[in-house]
This record gives sequence, C-alpha cells and structure tokens, in this order.
Amino acid sequence: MVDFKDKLVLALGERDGISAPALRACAESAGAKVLYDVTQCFV
Amino acid sequence: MDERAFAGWLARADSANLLLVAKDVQLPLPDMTRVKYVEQIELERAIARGAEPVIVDGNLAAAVLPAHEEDASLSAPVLLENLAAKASGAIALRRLLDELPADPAVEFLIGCGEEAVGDRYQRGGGNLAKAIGELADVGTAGALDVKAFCAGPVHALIVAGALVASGMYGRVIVVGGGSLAKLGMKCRGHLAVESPILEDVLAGVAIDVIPDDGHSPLLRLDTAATHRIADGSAAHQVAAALSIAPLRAAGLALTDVDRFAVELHDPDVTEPAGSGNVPATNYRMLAALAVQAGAIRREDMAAFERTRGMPGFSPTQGHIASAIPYLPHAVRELTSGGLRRVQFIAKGSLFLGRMTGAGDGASFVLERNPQQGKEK
Repeated sequence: MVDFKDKLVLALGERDGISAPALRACAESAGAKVLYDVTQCFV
Repeated sequence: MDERAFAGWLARADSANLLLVAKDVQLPLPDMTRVKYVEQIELERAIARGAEPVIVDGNLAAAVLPAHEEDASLSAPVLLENLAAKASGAIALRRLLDELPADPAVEFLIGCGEEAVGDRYQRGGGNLAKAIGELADVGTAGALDVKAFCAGPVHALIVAGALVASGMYGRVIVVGGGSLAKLGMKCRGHLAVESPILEDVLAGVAIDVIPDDGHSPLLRLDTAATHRIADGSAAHQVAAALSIAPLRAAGLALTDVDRFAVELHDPDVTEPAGSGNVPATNYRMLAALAVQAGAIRREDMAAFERTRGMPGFSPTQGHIASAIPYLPHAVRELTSGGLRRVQFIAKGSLFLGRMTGAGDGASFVLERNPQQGKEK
C-alpha cells in the first residue's frame, strides 16, 4: 500500500487504458498533489 | 498499389506544381505533360534547400518543394503529407465509383481524414474532400471535412446518414486519405526488439451512403451516439457512452449486437512497440460493461470477447483503423451472411492537440435491412 498523502505526482495516462484525468482524480482523492498530467495515445 | 504507381498519383494530385521528378523515373500517368522532370543533381539541390524527398523502390525519385519560405504550414514535409492524403483518398473514391452505378450522382463528399490543409493564417482550414473529389473527377459533388481525430470517419458517417435521411442530399460519400506521418510511427519500438518496421502502408477509405434501397444494411440513426463533454474521459465512461447507453435508448442490450467493431489496430504492429493489443483491451471493457449490466455472467466474458469481437487487422493509420475497416465485412455479413447488427465504436484522442484533456468518440449500429429477402 502506497501512502499518497502530500506526495507529488506526475500522472501519465493512456487513451485505451487509464486516462490522465482519472489518474489525477484518484491521486488527489488519496491526498496527493498532481504536478503534471497528460494522456497519451499510442496508436 | 506499389510505390511507383502511388508516386504517379502524387504527381496527378500536385495542382500547385510543387513536385519535381527525376528524369530517369517514368511515372505511370495518363498525361505526362504537366510533370516537371529534372536531373538528379537538381533534385538533390532542391532537397538541400528544404524540399522533401520521395523515395521509390529505395531510390530518390522525386521531391516536393516548399510553397513558401517562411510558412511552416506550407513547408515541404507538410505538403507531402497533404498530397499523400489527397492522392490516397482520391484512389479510394475513384475505386468505389468505378465499381458502382453512376446514378444517382454523388451530391456531397465528407472528408474524414486527419491532415491539416491550409496556410499559416488558417492552419487546418480544410476541405480536402473537395480537392479529393476534383482529383477523382466527381464534378457533381459539394464537399466539406469533418474533423475529430481518429473518430472522424464514424462522426462523418453519422453526418452523412443524417444528410441523406433528411433528404438534403440523395447520395453522400465519406472519404479519407491515409496518414503519411504515421508511417513508421513506432519504428523505434520495433527496432529495439529487432522487429521489422511494419507501419509501411498508406490506407484510404470511401463509403457510399444512400437512402434505404430495401437491400443494403441500415445505418440506424436512432443508435448514433457521440461522446458528450460531461460524459467523462475514463475508458469505462467512454465505452459506456458509446456502447451500452445508445443501445439502451434504442431498446437494445449489448447482447443484441452480434459484433462490435472497435479500434482495430493490428497487434502485430502495436505489441512489439509496447502499445499492447488495443482491440483486445476495448473488447475486455465491453465485456465488463455487459457483466455490470447483467447481460452476461463474469465467466462468459472471454466468450463474449471471442464471439462478438475480432482480432485487430488494420494498419495503424489512425482514423482508418478506428472501427471502419470492418465496414465492408459487416455489409457482407449483414446481407449474405448471418449477422443482424454490428455496432461501430470509434475513439479520438483530442487531448493530443493540447486544447482539452478530453477524449472523444462516436458510434452507430449498422443493421440488416428488414426488407431484405422480401423483394424476392
């Protein structure tokens, strides 16, 4: 179990997997601060 | 079509006379008079000054000149991309029309590609569809482009269906050229694992949309869906908005669809480069939604994916790979085969343009014509 409280997060999402906004929402709900988020598409 | 024949189409597509062709290369063209043939040394000089080389069978065969010294939108690499999209779209359109009756006349063309045509004052100004129609000699049609990244063709088919259903136009063709920029897109990944560079083909598409003829499959506009701004961009939210939601609204369940056409990228291309099996990921999501909706049991997910999905088989040409490669197969299966319904689900990565974090998508159901067979 990783404690995300007050951690700094770089959220790198993927279009057909987990998108960056979803990663951001999860990280922030766990108390982290998201510094950068971006979704990529590999096709 | 081989490289040499396609280079001939590039020359035919070059309405601005920007293509220089090496003298020792004979392009297969009906009218050779407009081609600018030059010595090899002249080609090499042009390339040194910013022209983009065109290689045919491993040899320098031609070069595209930049159309402006300072305008990045008219730089030679951009122009070659646009010429390639124009030519490959026109080839698809000409091939379609050569195989179909000329009547009724095509009244409208909708471009669905991903290229950006324009100069620096209107990058992506568009309407490549009109240029494609001109090259394919479709003088009866007006045209416009529908832009939505890889979801463009499915969005365009919905628009085409609506235009025909409204009576606005009697015959609309959705057309798209290939993406030169995506050739070798994942070559680093392929080379790193000593895989051949498989992204070596341009693809074009042309789709004829007409009123109900009592035989052809029906594009059910009551099942047409687009991903809305507030739908959410997580994968399950996009999938739900494009699959189960529009089906429910039309009184259908996921299990009423015999086959789903999703992102159909060939995993032989994507997996060596580390991008995974994209169709399989999408089918797994649909199966999970079916379990969540109570349409199937959890242990039936694999069978759902196997029987209602398919292996990816499309080149990674972005919009071309997004659901529509299955269209000709679906038309056959919905007429002479045993399928009743196919849902086409396309996604677009709008976030790549940095104007939004959102994705996009569109879907519709293609259905067997209820009149089919009754005409006998």
